[in-house]
Amino acid sequence: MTGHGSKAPVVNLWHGILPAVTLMLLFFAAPIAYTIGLSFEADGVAGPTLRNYLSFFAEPRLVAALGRTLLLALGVVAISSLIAYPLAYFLVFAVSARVRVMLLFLLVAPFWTSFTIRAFSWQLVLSDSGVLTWLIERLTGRSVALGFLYTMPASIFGLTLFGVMLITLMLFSVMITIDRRLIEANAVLNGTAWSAFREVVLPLSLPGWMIGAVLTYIIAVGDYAVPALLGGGFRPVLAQVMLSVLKGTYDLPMAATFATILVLVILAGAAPMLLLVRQVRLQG
Amino acid sequence: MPAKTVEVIDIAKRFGTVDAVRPLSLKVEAGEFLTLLGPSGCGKTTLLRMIAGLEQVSGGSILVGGADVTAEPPNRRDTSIMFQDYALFPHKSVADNIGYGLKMRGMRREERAARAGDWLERIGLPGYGDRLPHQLSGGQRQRVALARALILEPGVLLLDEPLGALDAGLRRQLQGELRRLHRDVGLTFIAVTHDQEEAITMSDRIAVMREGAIEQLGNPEAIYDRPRTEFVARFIGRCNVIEGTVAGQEGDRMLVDTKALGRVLAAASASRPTGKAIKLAVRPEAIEAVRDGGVPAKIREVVFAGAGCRVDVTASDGSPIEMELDRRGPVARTGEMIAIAVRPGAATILEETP
Amino acid sequence: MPSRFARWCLAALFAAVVVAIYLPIAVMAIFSFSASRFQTLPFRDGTLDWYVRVFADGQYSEGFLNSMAVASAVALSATVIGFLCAYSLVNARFPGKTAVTLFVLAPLAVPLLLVGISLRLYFVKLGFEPSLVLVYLGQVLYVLPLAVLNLRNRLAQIPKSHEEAAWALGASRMRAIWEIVLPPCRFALIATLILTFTFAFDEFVIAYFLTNFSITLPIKIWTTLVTGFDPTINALGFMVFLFSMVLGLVAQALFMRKDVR
Repeated sequence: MTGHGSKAPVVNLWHGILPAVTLMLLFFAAPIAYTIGLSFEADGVAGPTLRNYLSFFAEPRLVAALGRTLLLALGVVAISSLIAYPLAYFLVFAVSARVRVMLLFLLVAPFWTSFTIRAFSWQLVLSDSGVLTWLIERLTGRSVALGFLYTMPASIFGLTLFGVMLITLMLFSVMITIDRRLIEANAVLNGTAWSAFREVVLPLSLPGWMIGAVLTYIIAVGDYAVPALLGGGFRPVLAQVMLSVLKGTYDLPMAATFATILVLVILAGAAPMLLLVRQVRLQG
Repeated sequence: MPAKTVEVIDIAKRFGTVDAVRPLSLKVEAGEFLTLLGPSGCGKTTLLRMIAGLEQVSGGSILVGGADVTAEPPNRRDTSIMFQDYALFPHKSVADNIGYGLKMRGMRREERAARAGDWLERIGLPGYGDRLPHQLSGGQRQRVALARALILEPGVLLLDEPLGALDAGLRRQLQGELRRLHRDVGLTFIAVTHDQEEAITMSDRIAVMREGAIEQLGNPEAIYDRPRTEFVARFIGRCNVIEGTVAGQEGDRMLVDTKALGRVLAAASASRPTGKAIKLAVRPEAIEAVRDGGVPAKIREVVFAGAGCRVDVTASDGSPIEMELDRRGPVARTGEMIAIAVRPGAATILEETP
Repeated sequence: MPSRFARWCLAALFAAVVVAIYLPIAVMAIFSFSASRFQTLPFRDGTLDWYVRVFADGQYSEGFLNSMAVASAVALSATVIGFLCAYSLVNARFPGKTAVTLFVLAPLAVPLLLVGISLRLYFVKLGFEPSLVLVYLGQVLYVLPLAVLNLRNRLAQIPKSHEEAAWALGASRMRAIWEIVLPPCRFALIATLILTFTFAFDEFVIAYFLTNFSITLPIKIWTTLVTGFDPTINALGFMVFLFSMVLGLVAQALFMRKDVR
């Protein structure tokens, strides 16, 4: 490969995207499109049909699971956001740069570790014979039945820890770019720390919140591990139902219907968050 | 390394719907130092990059030493380019940076090192070969970048904002150095800058660019003394632009009546009919305080400016005029009335631009 | 700046969250050394038995080796493809660049579950038998956005003029990438390899849907968890956690590291 006579440099090298785009078309776009298409097919019916959807919504068990999924995901996003905002604010505005890096590392270090294992480890703490019960009994001297494990709040709790990590990280990356002089200007203009947060930090950090919140929502909607290990099997969310029903099922169109409904749930949840940010930005 | 001519013919560049460079032609003589001068976004850098081969032309052709190189890659057109931030490879030593072009030509390592060593001596940095670029000062980096471009013995050296990354004091010093270097190597230099002072002190000729076109091409004296348009007059140095009416002709000069400065004898590129409304470019140093004649003006502000005084006055029609007064003359005070006049022939009638 | 009191409140909240993140892992670690079969306190005798059992269990070993093999292949492919893509997105001008960027990053906005299910349906339709090769394909696709994002950020910091200088001095496109663009990216490339590896190593859902008989470590962990309790899982879980966390930290440190300027 010699440089002489090569005219390559002047030509735009857009070909680099080809492997990635091909991969995405073949193994991402095509499977999802196929799956959505399949959800409108049913045995013994010619042409597209809504039969799978009708039978989904005719089944109270499935509708309830869908409702739980929405409740779980929205609850996780809401609680995570409430915790993540003060945390990000603390990291960016209340500690020195050196401490900041260490604390951030501490907070997000387990981010890439196995979700399943972390969910399981909570069982050890939350179960009726777990560490928390033991601790309470030692402190109060009475025997207690926590009854927290295998409930919806336990699921929310487990996923919220993940959501807090993610949203804090996203908020942090945006807040750290806020010009400190804006905060100083607020102080000079007789503002308080609260007004600095409300008038400067909050509006400027909303884009970061949006990304974190949408990703958290998507993960909460699609996760099976936390609901299965902490929420238990009696009141399953959609992901659990899907996981138990789908592998090994021969009703492929029904499987596709589950998947398509999941897509709709994501769109329905993510759209308002995106719109909310836009609304606030337009006002500001 | 013989200097080469550069000729661009009807060259143009479009980015999407934006005309970065409108079709323009320009011939640079062998051994000349030409500067493309203009505000940011005027197309000067795009023009330079097209000559270097880093940007494809949307139309027209480029000739270097008479040979058409429009379709040639950057390394096959006998030009070398020095980038604005110097673009020294941060992970390569100074010697490896200087010798990079030779390496690409397949030259053996020892020979490359020897040639790079020669150039290090020549630019006054002997023994700096093993350092990394970030261990050098801004001025030293600039010299390394020059050596890296010149070691390939091009016929034309292209310089993108050659002094743009340096601070003011060093800039002035390096303007002289670049000038000397140009004399020493005898190459054709084409530089790009937005700094009019830099362009005036370094160049043989200046092409003032605006919105993708060359507004005026000429030597620094001509550009300064006889700006062709209001844009050039205002972009280079300080200048009063004053409205007036043609009152007659005297030789190849025109008589112009103005409200602010009275009757002015002005240079003109072409004759204009009596009664025509025109604009005049009048440099501050072309206006004098006079005892006899002249028109009255009121001194608004006197600013001490080292060698002389910058005096802002209000003309009788109320328009603000900027002039320069010698410190040896009578002391001007704010609020005083003086009489002012334009030196005959020192004003220039501007061409109308859309 | 927040008041002293507000600062203490914030610090307390931060501490509470950190405790919540690390407490259960610590508990798991403690139990992994407990001789009792039951996960109850107080802790009595210490043992390394569960660790010995993990290493003796053939299924764990098989899962580990499968996961290592697939994750290595995934990391390598995603980093190479991701670099090519990121390079083009940063340097090339072509119509629809924003659309292409969003398209390549799209898997980030889709749950693994959906990717897993639709890939399974798709491969069944195409007549492919579930296997580790399909897991590899699915996981490459899923970690590709991470690779593209990380490498794009790094590439965007390299001045375009460095590469142009190399061209002007006679380097070809490939040679300029090799000699001028890649060296400053080396830490980012290693970090991307590690990060994509970690993700693929811990990934469960795609693997679960796209294999039938071959097991990866996360699949083995999951089946152990749902088919009745086995204390070896504490030992294994703690090891996997440490493994991923160390790799993740190394990757983060590499990303933050400044290359020679």
